[in-house]
Amino acid sequence: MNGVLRYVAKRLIMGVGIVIFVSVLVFAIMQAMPGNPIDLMVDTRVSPERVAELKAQWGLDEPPIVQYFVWLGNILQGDFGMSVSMKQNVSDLILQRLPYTLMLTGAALLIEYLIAIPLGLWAAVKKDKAVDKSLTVGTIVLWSMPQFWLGVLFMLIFAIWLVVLPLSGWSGPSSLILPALTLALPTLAQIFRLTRSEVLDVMRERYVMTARAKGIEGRRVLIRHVLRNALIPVTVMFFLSLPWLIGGAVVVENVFAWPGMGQMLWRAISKQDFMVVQGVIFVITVLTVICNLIGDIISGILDPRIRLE
Amino acid sequence: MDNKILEVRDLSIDFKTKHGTVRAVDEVSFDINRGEVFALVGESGCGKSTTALGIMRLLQEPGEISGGQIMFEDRELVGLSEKEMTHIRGKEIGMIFQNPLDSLNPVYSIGYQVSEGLITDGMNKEEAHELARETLRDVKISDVESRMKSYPHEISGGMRQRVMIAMMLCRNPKLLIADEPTTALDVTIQAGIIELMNELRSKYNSSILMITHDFGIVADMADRVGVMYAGNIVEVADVMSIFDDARHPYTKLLMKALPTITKEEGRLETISGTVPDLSEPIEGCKFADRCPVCQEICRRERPALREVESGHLVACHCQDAEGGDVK
Amino acid sequence: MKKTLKNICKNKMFLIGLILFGVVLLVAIFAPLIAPHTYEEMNNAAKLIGPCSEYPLGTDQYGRCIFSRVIYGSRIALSVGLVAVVIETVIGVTLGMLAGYYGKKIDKIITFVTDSAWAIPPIILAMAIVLLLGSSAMNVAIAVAVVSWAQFTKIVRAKVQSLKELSYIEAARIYGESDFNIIIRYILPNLTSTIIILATLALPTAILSTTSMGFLGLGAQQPQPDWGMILQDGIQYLGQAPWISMVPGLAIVWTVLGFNLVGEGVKDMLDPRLKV
Repeated sequence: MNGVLRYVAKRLIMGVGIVIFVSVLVFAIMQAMPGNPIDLMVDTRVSPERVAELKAQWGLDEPPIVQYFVWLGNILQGDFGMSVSMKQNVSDLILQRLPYTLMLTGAALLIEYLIAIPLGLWAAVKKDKAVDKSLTVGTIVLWSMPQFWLGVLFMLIFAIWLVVLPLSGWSGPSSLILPALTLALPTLAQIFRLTRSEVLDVMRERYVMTARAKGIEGRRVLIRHVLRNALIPVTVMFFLSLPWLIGGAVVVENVFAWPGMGQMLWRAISKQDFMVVQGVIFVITVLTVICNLIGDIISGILDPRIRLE
Repeated sequence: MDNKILEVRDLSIDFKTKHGTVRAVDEVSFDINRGEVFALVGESGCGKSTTALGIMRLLQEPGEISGGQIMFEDRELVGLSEKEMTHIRGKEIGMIFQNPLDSLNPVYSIGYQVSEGLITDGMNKEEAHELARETLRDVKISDVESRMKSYPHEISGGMRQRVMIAMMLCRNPKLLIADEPTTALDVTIQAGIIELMNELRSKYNSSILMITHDFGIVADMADRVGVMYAGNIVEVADVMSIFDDARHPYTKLLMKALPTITKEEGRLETISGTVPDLSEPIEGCKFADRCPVCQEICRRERPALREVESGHLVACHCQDAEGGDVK
Repeated sequence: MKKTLKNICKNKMFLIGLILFGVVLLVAIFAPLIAPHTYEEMNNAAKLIGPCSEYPLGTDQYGRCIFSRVIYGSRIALSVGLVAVVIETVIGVTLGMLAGYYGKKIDKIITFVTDSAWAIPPIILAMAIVLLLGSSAMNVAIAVAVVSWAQFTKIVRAKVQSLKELSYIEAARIYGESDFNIIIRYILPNLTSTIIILATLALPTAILSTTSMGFLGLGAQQPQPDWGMILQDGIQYLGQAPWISMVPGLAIVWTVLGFNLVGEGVKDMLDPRLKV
């Protein structure tokens, strides 16, 4: 038990380290941007004195290192500054949009897990048979589809031609179907292929032979011994691929005008609204770090060997 | 007849690869009596492990049984469905593998793995765990309570092999197949495992099929011995006859290659030549190319396994012709 | 050599990939010969018209030929993707070799940076970088490279760690060869197949990423025929002129699928056990 705690603590420190690293990175990028937030925030008609006053108020006349800590301190208190284009608190904007992004990625994750792992297991069991070959080809084709195109295709078929699902935006749970599928299907290929290859690898392991030699029935061997072990790397990969999924969400949100953070980020970028960009990147990174941490803990639970390291 | 627990008749196992069919086991016949330890010896690649897996019907792709019979008690194992085999595996025939490092599932505790088979037999969890503990004590594992909760990577290789033995013995199988059970272990630990197996053999009264290349283990454990070469059994005899009165040229050369303290010359003999390529059909005796007493008939015709003395079978034309000795 | 050719022919997926890839390459090279119009030529009399003999795949809202734009677009997609892969290969392999070879502190730092890079959604970081550098096709290539080298580093590092243990490399070290020599003469040649596999498999991903950036309006600017951008433009006319969005999308699928199949084939031939 001690081992588990130590392991979690180690991962936690690592996660905090990554968040700090990313905060420095984001801050540096924003510092390097042409112009400074105040110049962008205020009109040209505002007097230079007023600008200096504002700068002092935001700590922008301090050296960068001090500015960084002021900025970090503000962020830790939940203050991400004001959005120039939307004239609103960035943290409020993020809180409004976060649930939609979480809903979309959560639904996509669920679809991926529920489809990819059983299919991967099935393909491995039927290795080199027609099922396996067509699933392998099918997933490569899916994997080759850009999400923005797949989304548009779905819109065209289900919203414009068949008119069975909403075109875009949020108007109730049925709005979730197309964006979630668009996000899940291309990325599902990776989980499928990893599951398949891991299951095939584990099947060759001697301990699977031992289980069979014990007279354990075929399906139980497959689930309890093969899949149980194959799930360890699959789970690790699953959580490692989250940043890609969230990145995909940014694109998909823009296809479907989904009221999440990705859409807000894109609007902010096109309007050079730096405060929003900073805030969104920071929140998304923290989310991925948390997800990775959960992934690490789950794989620690799945694999007794990790716990002891 | 009743005395026999296992009868293997003309068992052949083929590996069908892209580059042709390899006959790894070629019409092998032997039998094992109740309570007996039968050792199958030979170089690596001679088909002895494949034979063992064939008996368990655990051959992996592309290996398959292409002919022959395996009579276990009065049941024919060849042709049984996978489902029927699951009732025989573990329960009636147990098997111990070569490398205990990768034979145990890394994600389950020792207790789970030892009792899993008992639970599939229909035992309830408490009983199964109790029996598992008892068997672990039998294989001389100390501190059984905490070991039950340990994971395989937390215990030593020798201990893992003991766990493996306990896992197979706890269901008291009628036949135990041990595929090179000590090869992957340190010499000192090997001796302990062999001693343990000898001890448990009388307690559990299992018959044992011992697969090994180590004549030391043969001498320590076996009652009877079958010598395999390139997929064929070339000689079967009781253990004393194999050591004192080997008849097949291959067995004789093997004996000469054994290091002994009493041997006067300082050099060990080696057998010249190499094992033939089994992907091509061989007409005559497979040992012909390396045989010091090879005759013309040996290249033409496969010698059959024939009884030369009571209980001593040899597959060699020289034995048939002269009934006597090979130099 | 004959055996390799035979293997290639046996691997049907690889062959199909090669054909798809070959077609894209030829189209990119001979774009001016194939395209009936230039990519910027507008025709006020032919806005949003469907496929016809003059405009094989229809026109957009400015009366530009979609077929010609998509043909010319292959040049942008291929070159931007290629530049991105070259940059990320250089960064990733260098860091991976350093981490794997030197171990200890250097390894710890590089691993930490890699893990951090892995934790930021690549598209988002790339968006921030383009925001910093300004929207253009080449900046997109740089941004995509900067966010996707981590994969190379992880795999190369692991490979170098195991190579380092090989006795002849250890022997070279004991013999007093300099680290630089060992890395260049002994380790790098052993990484060739791994790098080839990683790079071929990174190309389709890079094309997906760069066209995504184009879709978000961060890539090449009008009137450049960026596939992602054409697709984005078409969304508002999806009901009346679906070809505007569908055609460039199909072009991306074609190209990416081709590269993916080639990459898989290369992996099967060089190192089927490599986990990517």
